[in-house]
Amino acid sequence: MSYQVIARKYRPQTFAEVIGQEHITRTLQNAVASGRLHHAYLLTGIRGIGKTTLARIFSKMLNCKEPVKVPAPEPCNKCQSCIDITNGTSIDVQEIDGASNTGVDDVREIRERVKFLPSTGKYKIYIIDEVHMLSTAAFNALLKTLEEPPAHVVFIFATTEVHKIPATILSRCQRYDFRRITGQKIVETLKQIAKSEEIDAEDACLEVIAAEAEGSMRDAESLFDQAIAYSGKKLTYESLKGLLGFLDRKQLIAAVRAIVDRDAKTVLGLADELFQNGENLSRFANELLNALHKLIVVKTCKDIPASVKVFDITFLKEMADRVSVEECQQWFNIAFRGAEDIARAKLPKMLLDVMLINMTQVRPVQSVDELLEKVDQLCGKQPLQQTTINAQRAAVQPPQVETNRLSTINHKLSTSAPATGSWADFIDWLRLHKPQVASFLEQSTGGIIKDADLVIKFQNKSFACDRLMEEDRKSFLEKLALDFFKKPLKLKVEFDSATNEVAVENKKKANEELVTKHRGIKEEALKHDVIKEAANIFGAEIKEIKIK
Amino acid sequence: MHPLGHKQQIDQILNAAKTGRLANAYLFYGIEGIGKKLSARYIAMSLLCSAKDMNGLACGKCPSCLKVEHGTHPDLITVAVEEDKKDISVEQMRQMQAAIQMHPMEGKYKIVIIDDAERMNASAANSALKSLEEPPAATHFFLISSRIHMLLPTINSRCQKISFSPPPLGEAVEFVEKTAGVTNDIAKTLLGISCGSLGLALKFDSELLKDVTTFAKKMWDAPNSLDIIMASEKWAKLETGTAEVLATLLNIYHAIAICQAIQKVPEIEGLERYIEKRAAAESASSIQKKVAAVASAQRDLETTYNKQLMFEQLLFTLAS
Repeated sequence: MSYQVIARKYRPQTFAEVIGQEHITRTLQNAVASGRLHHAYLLTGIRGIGKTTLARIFSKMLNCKEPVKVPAPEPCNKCQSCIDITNGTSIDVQEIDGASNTGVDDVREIRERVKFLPSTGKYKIYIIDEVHMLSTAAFNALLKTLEEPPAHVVFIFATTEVHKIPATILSRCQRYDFRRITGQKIVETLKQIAKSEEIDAEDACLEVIAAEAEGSMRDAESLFDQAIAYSGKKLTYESLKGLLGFLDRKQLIAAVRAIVDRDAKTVLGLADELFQNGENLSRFANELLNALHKLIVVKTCKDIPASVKVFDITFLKEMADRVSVEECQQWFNIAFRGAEDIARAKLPKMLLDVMLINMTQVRPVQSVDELLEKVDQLCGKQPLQQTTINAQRAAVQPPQVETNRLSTINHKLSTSAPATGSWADFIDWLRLHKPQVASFLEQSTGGIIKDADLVIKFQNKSFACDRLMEEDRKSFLEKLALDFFKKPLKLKVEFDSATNEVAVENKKKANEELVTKHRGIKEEALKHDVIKEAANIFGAEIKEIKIK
Repeated sequence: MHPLGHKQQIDQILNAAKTGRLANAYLFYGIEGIGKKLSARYIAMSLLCSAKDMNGLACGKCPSCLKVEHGTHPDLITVAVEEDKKDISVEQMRQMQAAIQMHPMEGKYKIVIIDDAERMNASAANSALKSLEEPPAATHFFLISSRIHMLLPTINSRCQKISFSPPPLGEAVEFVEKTAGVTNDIAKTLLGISCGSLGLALKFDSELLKDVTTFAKKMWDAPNSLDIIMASEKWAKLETGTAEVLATLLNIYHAIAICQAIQKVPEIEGLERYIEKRAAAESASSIQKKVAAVASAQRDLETTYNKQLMFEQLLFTLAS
C-alpha cells in the first residue's frame, strides 16, 4: 500500500469526527434517528471542508447493518457495507465524478439502474461529486427521477459552485451549506494529527498553517503534509518559513520604513534581494498591502479593533506618527492596484520595482481647504472669508462628524446606563455597537447578573442560543460584557419554561395594544380634513396608510 | 537534462519519495521559462530510473532514463496543449485518466505531468479533480503553471505548491551566452528584459532587440508619426516576438524610472546615455503612466485582435 496523504488518511469516518459542521451533522443524524429521510441532498461550500466526506459517511449510515444509536446515530464502520463504502467498492453506493461523466447518456444510465433494488443494503445511493459540471441536458434528464425516485434511492450531490446548478434541481433537493472552519478548530485538529503521526510541531507553526488555509481543512492538511516532508519530524517556525517563502518580518519592516523615508535606493535593493532569493513577489506585494492597511488602521483608530491582528505595533505606531492619513491612503491605493497587476504580470519584477518607486514619490499632500486658505491669504482678503471657510471645514471634515456621533452615543450611555447597567440598556448599547450580537440577544427572554455570571435565558434551544454558545462568540460577548458592566462576567445560557408562557403572554398583549393604537391613528387620518380635500382634488381614493 | 538550479525543490521531492511521503499532486509555479517542466521531467526520470545514485538522482544512461528523455516511457504521461489548440481539452484528460488506471509497467510509479495547467479548460480542470484527490495507487501528478491565479481554487487546494524562481544570474548569463551564441553584454541585457527567465531570453531575437532600441532613439530624437505607424505595422505583423517587443519597451521605461529614482543607469546595450537624458527630461508621473501603458498592452496582447492598433496606441502614448 503506497503512502496516503494526510488529507486522505485522516478523512473523517463518523459524524462526530467531522469538524466545524455541527449544523449539518446534527440535522442529518436527527433525520436518520427520526426516519425523516429526504431523497435528494445537495452539499455545497468552499473547497476542502467536508462535502464529499460527509456524503460518504451519510451513505454508510443509511446502509449500515449495525448502526450505533446512542447518543447519536453513527455508522459502525465494521460491517461489510461500511467497509465496502470506505474502500469505494460498494455496489449500492455509487460515487460518480460529475465532472467526467457530464453527458445526458451518463444520466440515462443512472435512470436505467435506479429501478433495481439494492443488492444488500436498504438503500441505493448515488453520490454525484462536482455536480455543477453536468450539462444542461443531463440536469434536465435527471429532473423526473429526482422528484419522484423509487423509495430505495437517495441522491447526494456535492459541489463548490452552487450557482451553476439549475433552480429546478435546487428546488428538489435539501440544501446544506458548509461553513469555513475556524482557525482554532483547524489548529486543534492538526494537533491531534501531529500526535498520532508522532510529529513535534510548534504551536506557532500550526497557527500559521491554519491562517494560510483560509478555513479549508484540506488546504491545511496539504500544507502540513508538505511541511513534514520538508522538515522531518520536528516542525519549527523557521523551517515553515523556508517552505512557504514567507517574508522575514524584518524585510517587510525595512520596506515600509524605506517607503516612509522616501528612500528609493533601499527599497529597490530590497526588491532585488527578494528576487534573487526567489521569493514570491506577488506575495511580497500582498504583504506590503497588508502592512499599509495596518498602518492606516493604527493611524486612524485610537483603539485597534480586536478583529485586526497587528504584529509590529510599536513600529507601526512610530511610522504612523510621521505620516498623514492622506499619504497612507495614496500608498494603499498604489499597493492595491500594484498587487493585482503583479499577480497577473508575466514579468512581475519590473512592475514591483516601478510600484515601489511610485510609492517613494508620494508627496505629503495638503488638504484642499488649506490650499484655498493660502490662496485667499495671497489675494489679501483674509478676515472676512476666514470664518466661512472654517465653518465649511467643520462641516466637511469627517473626523469631526465622527466625534460628534460618538459623543451623542456616549451621552446616551451616560444618561441611560448607570454604573450597574440593566439588561435592556445592555441590549440597547449592543444595538449601537454590535447589531448582530444584539439580534441574538433579543431572542432571549431576559438576562440577569448573578455574582460573576451573566445568565441569559432562552425559551428553548434555538439557533440563536446555539450560536451564542460557540467558543469564539462566547468569549467575544464576555468581552463586550466586561466593557459595559465594568466587571468580568462568565456567560451562561439557561432555558426556563416557567417564564416562557408569561413572556409569550406579554408579547401578545403588547402586540394587541399596538394594533388597536394603529387602528385609532388610521381612523383619525381618514377623517382629517386636509386628506379629504386632497382626495377630492385629485379624484383619488385612499389605498394605504403607513405608520412610521 | 539536469535543469539549471532548483536543487532545493528537486531534493525536497526526492526526499519525500525516499521517506515514502510523496504526495498525490504537486503544483510547480513561477515565471515562464525557468525550468519548471524540466525539473518535473528530471524528477520523473529520477523516480523511474533503475540505477539511481546514492541521492536518488537519475543516472541518465539506463534504458528507463533514455526512454524518459525521448518521451517514450510508458509510465510517464505528459499532457500539454496540442498544436493549433488553445487549451487542454477534456478529451485529453479522459485519455490520461484511462491510462492511469493501469499498473505501472516498468518502474514503481506512474507519473503525470500537466504542462501549462492553467490552460486546462473548465471541464478539463473539473474532470481532473477526482483523480487529483484520490488517484490510483502509485500515481503522482505534477502540474506546471506560470499563472497560478488562473487555476481553479479546488485544484490549488488538492496540490502541494512548490515555488520556482529564476536560477542565479551568473549561471544563467553563462548558459544564455553559450546556447544562443551571443556576447556577454547582450546575454545580460536579454536576461534583464526577461527578468531572469531563460526560456524567454533564448527565444529572443537579438536583431529585434536592436530594432526596438533604434526605434526608441529615433522616437526620442525626433518624434515622427510616420515612424510610429511604420514600426507598429512591422511589429504587429511579426509571427513571433510581439511579446518580446513589449518586454523590451517595458524594460527601457523601467530603466528610466530607476534612473530617476536612484540616479543609477541599468545596463541596456547602447541606450545608457539616452536613458539618462529621458530621466532628466520627463516627470516621474509621466514615466509611471508610460510604464503602466506598456504593462496593460502586455496584458491585452493575448486577447487583442488588431495588434497594429494596439501598438499605435501604445507608441503614441510613449512618444507624447
